[in-house]
Amino acid sequence: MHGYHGVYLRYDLTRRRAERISIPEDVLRRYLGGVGLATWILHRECPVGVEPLAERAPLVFAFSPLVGTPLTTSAKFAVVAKSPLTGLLCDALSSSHFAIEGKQMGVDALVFVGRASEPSVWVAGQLEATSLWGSEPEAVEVELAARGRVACIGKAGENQVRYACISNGGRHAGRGGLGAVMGSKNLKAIVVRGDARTSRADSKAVVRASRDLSRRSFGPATAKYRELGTAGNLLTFNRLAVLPTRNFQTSVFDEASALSAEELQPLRERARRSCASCTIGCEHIYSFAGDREVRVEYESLFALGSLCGVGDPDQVLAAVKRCDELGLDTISTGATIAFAMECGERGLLRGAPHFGDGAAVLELIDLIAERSGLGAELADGSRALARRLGGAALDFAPQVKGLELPGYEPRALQTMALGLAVGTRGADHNRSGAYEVDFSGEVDRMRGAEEHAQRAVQPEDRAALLDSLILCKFLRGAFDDLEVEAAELLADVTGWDVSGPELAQVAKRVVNARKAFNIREGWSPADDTLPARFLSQPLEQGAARGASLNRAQLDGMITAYNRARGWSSEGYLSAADLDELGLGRESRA
Amino acid sequence: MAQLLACGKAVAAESEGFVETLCAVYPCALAPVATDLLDAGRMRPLFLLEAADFLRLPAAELCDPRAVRGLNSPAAYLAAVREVEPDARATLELLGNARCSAGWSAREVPVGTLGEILAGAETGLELCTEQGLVKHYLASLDGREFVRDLELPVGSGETVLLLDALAGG
Repeated sequence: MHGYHGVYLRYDLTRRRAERISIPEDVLRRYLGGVGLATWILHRECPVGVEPLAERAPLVFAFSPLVGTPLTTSAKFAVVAKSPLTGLLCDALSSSHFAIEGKQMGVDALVFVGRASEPSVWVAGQLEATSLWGSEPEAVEVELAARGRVACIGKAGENQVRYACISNGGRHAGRGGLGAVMGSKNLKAIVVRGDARTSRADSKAVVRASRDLSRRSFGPATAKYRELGTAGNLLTFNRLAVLPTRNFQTSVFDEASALSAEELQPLRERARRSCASCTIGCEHIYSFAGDREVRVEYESLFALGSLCGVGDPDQVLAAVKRCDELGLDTISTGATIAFAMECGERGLLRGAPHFGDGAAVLELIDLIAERSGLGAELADGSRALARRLGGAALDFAPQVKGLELPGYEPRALQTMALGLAVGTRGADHNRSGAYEVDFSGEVDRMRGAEEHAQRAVQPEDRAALLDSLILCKFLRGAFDDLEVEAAELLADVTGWDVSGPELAQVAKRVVNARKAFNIREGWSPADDTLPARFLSQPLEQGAARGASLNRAQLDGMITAYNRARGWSSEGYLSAADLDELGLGRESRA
Repeated sequence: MAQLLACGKAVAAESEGFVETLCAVYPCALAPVATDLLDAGRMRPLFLLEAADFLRLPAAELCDPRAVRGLNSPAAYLAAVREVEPDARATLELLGNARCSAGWSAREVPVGTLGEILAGAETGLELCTEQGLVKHYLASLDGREFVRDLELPVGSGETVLLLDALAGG
């Protein structure tokens, strides 16, 4: 078999025992790698109904057939577990050297179950007690760098903050609280190293394809990410009135200019960096507070900036940096704080900071990571806080299925509203990609209808394919026909006579497998919705003034989406779909 | 025209043998007739005139005969805008990569088609091909609707936003 080792390593932290488990080739061909393969493994390894932070809950790191090749952006891995924030499937991606070195351990995935008896690090198969508990991710990586490539958690993960992330090389598997899962296992860091490389079916063809893809990646298709990075979204989103502001009370932020890449870059950009095996170079490093540095992304700027009403770039960048140091997902951190701010304004929560108080945001971030004071109330996310506060709080808690919304205003991007409502990991932008339909100009972004729903399937499928191959989504504009071109790449690596239509089917299968996991864990159609705010309050400012969405409209889109997916109108998979997944009896619960 | 309305009938301008239903005045008494026509799915304004006894007013007798000029193409529309307002201006606003490449954020430009405005602006970018706007950029009118048709007329006071096509991340 080319491109794969055909095995995953299951490590029981309680018993300190490793087991190598074969993965049949047909499973690899049907699920590829990354998110797809990890979802298949999670179906096998995760006991039905397990509590996400329980000892028995598995944590999966999955690589892919393209990892280790010179194909640009291929050095990525997926982390998958049952989310402590949503109770459903969570898949997050990260990238760079950890992926390459991890796969060179001679496995296609690492699975951790059980719980170490004391704070530990796992170093290439050996579990060791550690004194690094309490250290920041960057310090952990420096300390362990000589022993391999490191993925680790910060203080937030140790304290099982339900939106703690896993960090590696300055990047993060950010969403859904995977860092809390790792923390629940007393696992501070995972260190991978190895030299077991996989073969390629046609090495010369892979090199040729890599050169071609790299050439295309230098062009205008990726210019936005290269020149400004995702931070370039902020001013544009504000102009289009889709920039969530003050806990989604409005979608225009008066101080957006001060936080925009267009303004900040000339003054603050210190460096541009890229992941291993990447020719795009989307990482933009800005300075703040004198000579400190931080990597800037749109989602961090929006969540800790406009969403909290903070327009001082030094305060926002300091908050982003602090989240990185503590191992917190910036989106959920900012959104939960913004929610607390509005609760404070409404007299529902005492001691909450006011919108715009950047200094208080910074202090609260530390309290969240420590689960201390007000931070303890925010550490389980906005849904848990809203449930505790009761009343109308759930109506304006910015979450779907427990996951806080990313920086896309649903009332002004109504295909995205659907994507946020039906996403398997909750309110999510990276798995759905439905905003692309809104930005296509082919639909009226402020009048969601069945047509929008049918179009939402395609970007979600494309994301599932890219996340399973794995290639970076920032490369998507460089493909003319993703399925066909990806099939050629995959054929060069694996030797399979794979086709575009087969990969299109893989993408659907991965989406179905994620949904099947959620169904077995208790998902119901009522979970596919948006907070009442978005279905009752029109937007009042800027280019989206008057834009509104109502429940009947959203429900109509959801039904149309479910049918377009081939599911029942409520969103259940058919028996035939479940059979096709080949996941076994447990997944039919 | 309003004076003629006092006779209780609808009044419509007539130009070159055509009744101009949008250059017309209708008495309020016709409202129930309009409702019936809408309920019957008969949407054209001409049906309303035909259902009533109406007066025809030669276009030459209007205060400004240009009121009944047919504007059936972008070129005709823009010619009319320029005639009425010779210095009519629209705004081209650049965001994201386009702004960084061009080195400016917004400029007033003469009204024109979307293609004319994009081609005339000094952005230093290749924005248009024979197939239309290149796929890496998006244009938006006043931030509400996205437009790709280079023949689209951009009128006085309107703003074209030029932005990167790829959102997300």
